[in-house]
Amino acid sequence: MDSAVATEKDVTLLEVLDRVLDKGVVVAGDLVISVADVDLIYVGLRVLLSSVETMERLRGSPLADVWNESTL
Amino acid sequence: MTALYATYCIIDSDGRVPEGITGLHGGVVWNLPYRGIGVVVSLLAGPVQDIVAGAVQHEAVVEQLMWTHTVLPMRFPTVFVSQEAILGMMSQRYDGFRENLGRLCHQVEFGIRVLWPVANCPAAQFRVQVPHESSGKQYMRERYRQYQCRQVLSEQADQFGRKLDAVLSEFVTAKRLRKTGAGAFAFDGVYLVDWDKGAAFRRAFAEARSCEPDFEYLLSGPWPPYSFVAG
Amino acid sequence: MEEKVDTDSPQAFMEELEKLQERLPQHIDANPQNVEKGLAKLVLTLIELIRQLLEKQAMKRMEAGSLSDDQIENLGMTLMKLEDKMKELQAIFGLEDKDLNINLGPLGDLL
Repeated sequence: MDSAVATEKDVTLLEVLDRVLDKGVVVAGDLVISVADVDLIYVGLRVLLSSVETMERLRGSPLADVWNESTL
Repeated sequence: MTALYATYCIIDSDGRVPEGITGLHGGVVWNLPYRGIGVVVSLLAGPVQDIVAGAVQHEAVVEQLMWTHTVLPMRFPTVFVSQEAILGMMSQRYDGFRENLGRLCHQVEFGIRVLWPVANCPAAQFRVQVPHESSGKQYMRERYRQYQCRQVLSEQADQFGRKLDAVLSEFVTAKRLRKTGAGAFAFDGVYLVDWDKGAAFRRAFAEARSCEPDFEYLLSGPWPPYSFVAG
Repeated sequence: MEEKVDTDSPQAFMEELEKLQERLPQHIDANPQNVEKGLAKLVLTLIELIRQLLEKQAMKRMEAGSLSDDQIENLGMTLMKLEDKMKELQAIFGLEDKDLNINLGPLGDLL
């Protein structure tokens, strides 16, 4: 953690993150990573966004049917 | 590489949104219409590497729209690989979105958080060292002292919560109180407020706060109604 | 971003809000070692829940004055040992206090 004293701007960022990452409308994106927990599906999207390689890898996986349907 | 679509919020209009709003990676934002409502999207040029920066950009887009439209802010990140997939989602969720847009019309969210005044706990004064006390008893005595402290603070926090409620209720459409338990927050609530009543809400809070100067306060907002989208 | 936060104690709130952020999962890891860790987390969280419930019961009985000296001593020793054991197990699995929790969705956190 920063040794400088926190400002209202720092707190504002955390309040934004608390809402944007954890609340709001939740919809499953195209790639459904099939675990029961909604959080993990959401995290799955985050993993997707951070790795193009993951997307390419998943094309060859059992999830490929879901993938192919959604890219029509 | 397949194109990706970032989504920001559902709005109560199928018309265009103002020109020049940009979102993630500087992509131009537009409204994808569906049966009288719309979903605000932008093309994503590549993967999002910086989640925090992306979250801020996402929020900035929603906030640019919240004063001219009713918005249902979406969680970040919510990404689709095609417009067809987005429209499929809209079809699935249409009724729920309509209901939410009706309920959240003209509403904004405020957050109030309050920290325990830990130093002020009266039971802290009763820290007693009993000579020759066995370790089991010593342990219990210390735990009991902390327990009494929490009881006192809990009662204070409840009283404070009731006072806040009384003072704020005429300006509030709905509220959600987060369970606080033994954590650092004595109070953690979000309020749905009609945007015409925002200033009055703030004044009422300032007054309630001045009556209990021992606590530490945080008021945040106005936000898009993240905490009040249902289903 | 315009001013959206009004507080006299930004530092204090900063610390607590950062703790909330730590709860969010940062990445998926299908490494088998971490599956084990996930199990340990679940088990230890439940043990911690039970420990807290036991302690709460003990406190209520202290309040009611319904414990003998011997009972207070024994309960104290037991709770103390349980606390030490928890710390030992946490160290073995590399789990900190903040890791020991289960999110029940709309019901909030277990602990």
